[in-house]
Amino acid sequence: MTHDHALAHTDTGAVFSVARACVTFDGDCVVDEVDLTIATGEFVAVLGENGTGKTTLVRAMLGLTPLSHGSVRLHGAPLESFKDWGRIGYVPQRLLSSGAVPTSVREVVASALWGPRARFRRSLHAASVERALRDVELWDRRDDRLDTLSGGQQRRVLIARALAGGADTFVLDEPTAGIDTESQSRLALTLRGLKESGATVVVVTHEIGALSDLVTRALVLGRGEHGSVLYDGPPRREELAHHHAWHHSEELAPAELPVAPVTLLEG
Amino acid sequence: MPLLQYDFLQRALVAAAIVGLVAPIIGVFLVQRRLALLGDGMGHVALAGVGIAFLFGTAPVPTALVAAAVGAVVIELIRAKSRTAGDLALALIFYGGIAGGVMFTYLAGGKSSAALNQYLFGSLSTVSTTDLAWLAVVALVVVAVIATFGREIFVMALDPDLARTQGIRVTAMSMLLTVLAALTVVIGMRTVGLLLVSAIMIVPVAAAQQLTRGFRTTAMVGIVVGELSAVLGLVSSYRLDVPPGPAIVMVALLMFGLCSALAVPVRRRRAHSAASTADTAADNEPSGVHA
Repeated sequence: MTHDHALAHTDTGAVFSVARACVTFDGDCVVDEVDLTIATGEFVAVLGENGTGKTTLVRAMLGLTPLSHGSVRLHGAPLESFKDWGRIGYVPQRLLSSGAVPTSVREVVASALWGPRARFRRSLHAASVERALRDVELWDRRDDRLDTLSGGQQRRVLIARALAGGADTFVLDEPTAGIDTESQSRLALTLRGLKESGATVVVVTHEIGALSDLVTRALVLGRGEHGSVLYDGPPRREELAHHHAWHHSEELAPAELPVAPVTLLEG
Repeated sequence: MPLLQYDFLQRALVAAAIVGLVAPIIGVFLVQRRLALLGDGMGHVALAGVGIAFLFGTAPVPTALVAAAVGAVVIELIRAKSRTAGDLALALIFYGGIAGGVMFTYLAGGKSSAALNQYLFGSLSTVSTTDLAWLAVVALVVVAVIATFGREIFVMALDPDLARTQGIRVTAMSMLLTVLAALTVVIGMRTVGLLLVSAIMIVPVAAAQQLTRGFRTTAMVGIVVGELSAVLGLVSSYRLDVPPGPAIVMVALLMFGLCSALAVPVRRRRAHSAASTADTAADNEPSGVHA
């Protein structure tokens, strides 16, 4: 396992600096006065009940949802002028247009490397794609249509996509939602690999169970008197249970599972 | 082949071959973006260009090209602003295009109203050498742009949010795709006609995806289906004495039927080979060891 890429990108500055961020939809304040600094190597779980703005917050942190006021800096640069997108691995719950035209697993993963900077680089980055797909144990399914895979497998393909792109900052939206427990534990293994390779990980979830021993910091969102953040600190069981953010039924024991090596790849 | 004795048929055949190649390349991206009907609308807008050309006595192909490209830009700007308003605005622009096209053509008088059918359903006899040169240049531009930006357009069509987090300029790529669709419509105008040109962008892709598992192979098989439809359709148009557009689209639809019929055994064989691979993998995997 090599961590060169992660180390090459390690800097002292914050990965995300969010200052007084607000997002309003039709006059309704979905994200309210969020101040947040996430440092390199943190594994942050963004928790909260449905409708508390978890997904909206991380989308705003990536510039996908506009802020009504406040600001976000990404790796030190204001979001509007941030250029180093190769460092960011965004993993949505599903692809927006999955299945309209058959798209193979390999194509979806390789497409992480197709940005403006790779416009004239004709090589397929085959090695990165293979390594990423092996990391999530889906290399055997590389030529299959993405939409023939199970929900959990598709989620792992999207994680492989972020890995292949050479990211060191991962933002995952509900990676464990709606998938079976076996897939959840496999996902937890993949995320453990990311953590061990020094990546910064932000996970939106309302099921901390599967990730409980990976998370270094919990952010509980809700409608509080002083804004959206109800709790920001270590993932202490009693604190999270108090905020209904600890689900015993979803709990797994990832510590007992073997660790799959996940490598951050050269971009 | 006696067909090739006539210069006008040679030109029509080359024009059809160009459409058969270019249309599915753009069509595969349009289907991925769930904009399969966009080409129809662009055809209507291009018709307004043809009408204007008749009215002012300019050359139809370049005028239609400008009308379709301007229409594409306007449509994208409206779509970018609001999805709901965009849907309605699209309808207004498309109706305006066809109504304006027909009205201008009749206002121009003379032979132009008789020529209208040739633009709506294609014609074997009207492709001039100048037209052919225009088509070839526009086709080259479309292919060159896809060769350069195709991968970014693919990511944008797959998921615009993912594309944004890769630093891809989503609005620009979306605009580019719509303009390319407009250019492709004009390429198909002479042989397939503006009412059916969208079919040669979409039907070959629909046929191809019955058999394929990847985007690139869908595009490749789509091109083969597109070429076969264009050439066979043109030949049967000559033999049956019908306009080429409907003949080309009927052949494409037949090929869609053929591919759908082939899809059943192909999928069964794939499922079978996947099952036997899984069996072999299970046999080879040492028990208790995580592969």
